Amino acid sequence: MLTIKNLVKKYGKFTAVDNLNLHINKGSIYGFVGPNGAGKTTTMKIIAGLLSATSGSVMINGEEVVKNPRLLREKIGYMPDFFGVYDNLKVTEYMDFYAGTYYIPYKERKDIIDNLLEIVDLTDKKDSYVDSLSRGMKQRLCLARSLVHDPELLILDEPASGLDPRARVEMKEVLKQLREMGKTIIISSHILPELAEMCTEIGIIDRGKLSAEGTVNHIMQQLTKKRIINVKPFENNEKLIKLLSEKPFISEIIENTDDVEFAFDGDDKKLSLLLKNIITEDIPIISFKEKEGNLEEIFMQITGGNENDA
Amino acid sequence: MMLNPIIRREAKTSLRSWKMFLAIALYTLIISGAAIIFIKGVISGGYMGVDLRGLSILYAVLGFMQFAMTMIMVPALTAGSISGERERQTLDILLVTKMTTFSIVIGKLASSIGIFLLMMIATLPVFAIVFFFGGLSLFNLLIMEIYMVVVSVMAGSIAVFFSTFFKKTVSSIIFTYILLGILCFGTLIFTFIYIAYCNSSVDVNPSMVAILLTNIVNPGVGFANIIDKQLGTNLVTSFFGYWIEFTPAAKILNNYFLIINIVINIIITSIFTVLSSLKLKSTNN
Ligand SMILES: Nc1ncnc2c1ncn2[C@@H]1O[C@H](COP(=O)(O)OP(=O)(O)OP(=O)(O)O)[C@@H](O)[C@H]1O
Ligand SMILES: [Mg+2]
Repeated sequence: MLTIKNLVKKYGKFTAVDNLNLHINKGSIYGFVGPNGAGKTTTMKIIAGLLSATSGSVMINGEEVVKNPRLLREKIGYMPDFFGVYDNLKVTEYMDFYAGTYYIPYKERKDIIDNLLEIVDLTDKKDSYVDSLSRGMKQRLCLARSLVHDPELLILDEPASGLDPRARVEMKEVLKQLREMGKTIIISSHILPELAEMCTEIGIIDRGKLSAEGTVNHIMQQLTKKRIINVKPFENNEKLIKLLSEKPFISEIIENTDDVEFAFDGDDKKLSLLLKNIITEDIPIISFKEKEGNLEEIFMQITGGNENDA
Repeated sequence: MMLNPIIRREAKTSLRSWKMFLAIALYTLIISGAAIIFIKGVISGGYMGVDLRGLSILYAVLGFMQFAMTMIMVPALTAGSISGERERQTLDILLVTKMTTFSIVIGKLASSIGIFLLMMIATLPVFAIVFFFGGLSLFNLLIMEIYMVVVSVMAGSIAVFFSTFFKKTVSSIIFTYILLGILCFGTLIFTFIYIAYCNSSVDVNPSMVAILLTNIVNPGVGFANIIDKQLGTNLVTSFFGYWIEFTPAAKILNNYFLIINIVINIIITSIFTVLSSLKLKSTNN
């Protein structure tokens, strides 16, 4: 559906997007994650045709965006990170205006608008003025607006930012519905866990570069070369510690009061052999498990660290 | 054929806005107030009955007021058209729709001219009274109002252009006034420098053709030219100096002055409209 090749965007000497490559399949929900200033908005604006790239190309269904902007506008729905609404305009009129900007015939508009307001749960706000809506409602209205021409690809730039937990949940519900409708969605956020559960794929962008890509699980494996293993011995640790410290693929052994944690470098087979080894050495253990990676920690690990050299 | 969605929306929102109501009310009040004061003066001044020539002067005065207010209000109404969308953060959303930047610009221009038309219609009764008693033809009024529309669209197109250019509405208002000032007063200053230069040298006489050509873009001179034609006055020539020889060539130019002026106004409008849509289209901002 969407292919980005060697995308570069420079603002003067500053490179905001640095040779970005990505491919998004039809029907996927692609989470575009990165810290502030990573280049998410810049990339999304280029896809939407609002910014021109310094070099590289963006293709939708094999067609270059810059070569056929009008046709591609039909296919893209875009929700910017920051947006405003007009004064003195009611919700239905707001929707009607944008239906007009896509030249949707008057007689078709009512059904489309009613249906979209239903999806974003704003039906009972139909006749309210848009500037009187709450932030969460405005965000959902803007999402409905981006759907008015039934686009195939939705570009949502931090649709949940600035929302309270409840409004976030509501926004997520709407996105789930869109996924069921078969839309291809790119959604950005600077919080990885927020996206993890609803995305089919995730791309992590940092300083204009894609630093990891794939399914959530894939990313975790890619990033956590060292796996953290937690073992609970029965009674004393000494024998266990001795055994572990002899292995070259084990490091960072931490002795807690009733368990031992260590970093393990290897695949599942190696891990099973280790367990076998412990048991044949007659060390009694009551549990042996791999610690679940924490998304937030991983995210901090990839993107953090060198914040200060920017 | 669908009505430009921007015109539809702006019509809806501005009719709901009390600011717009206030602007129209104020405009109507100023024009009709001036008319009432003038008519009162004419009536009390005349010994027997009303001096009808006074009403044709009133026509010129009201026309001039309308003209001046066009030049002041149209930029104020239009200069926020694009920068306002930018400030409100609705511009990007508009730019990703299927509307071309050209129809966005046209929609914006038409919306603010629409408000101005509303003002013109609101003061039409005042002009009608002047006509009824002043013995002017309806055709005269039509020419005058068409010229007002042409000039206001020109001023509006400049305002839209600066509006696409500057982030702040204030800057676009200021630059529109500056450019209109150059068109209206810059050409006059240039003309008077030319006349002064001619006067200071012994063997060069100022040429009326050159003077008229210098002011061919000037909407104010265009307006004065209409008054001259309709009331038989000589505002233009006496303004620049009645002693300057009115050659046959100058007479011909003077006859076609209004047409040429209107054509140039339309050209200026087209240029700025195209420039605005190109500026909006360029995605490197
Ligand atoms: N118009 C501009 N001129 C110069 N630099 C810019 C411009 N727009 C963005 N940048 C820079 O480009 C970088 C990427 O910005 P971008 O807005 O794409 O980041 P982001 O990932 O969307 O961040 P956030 O999470 O804060 O929204 C930033 O360092 C920013 O300062
Ligand atoms: Mg951003």
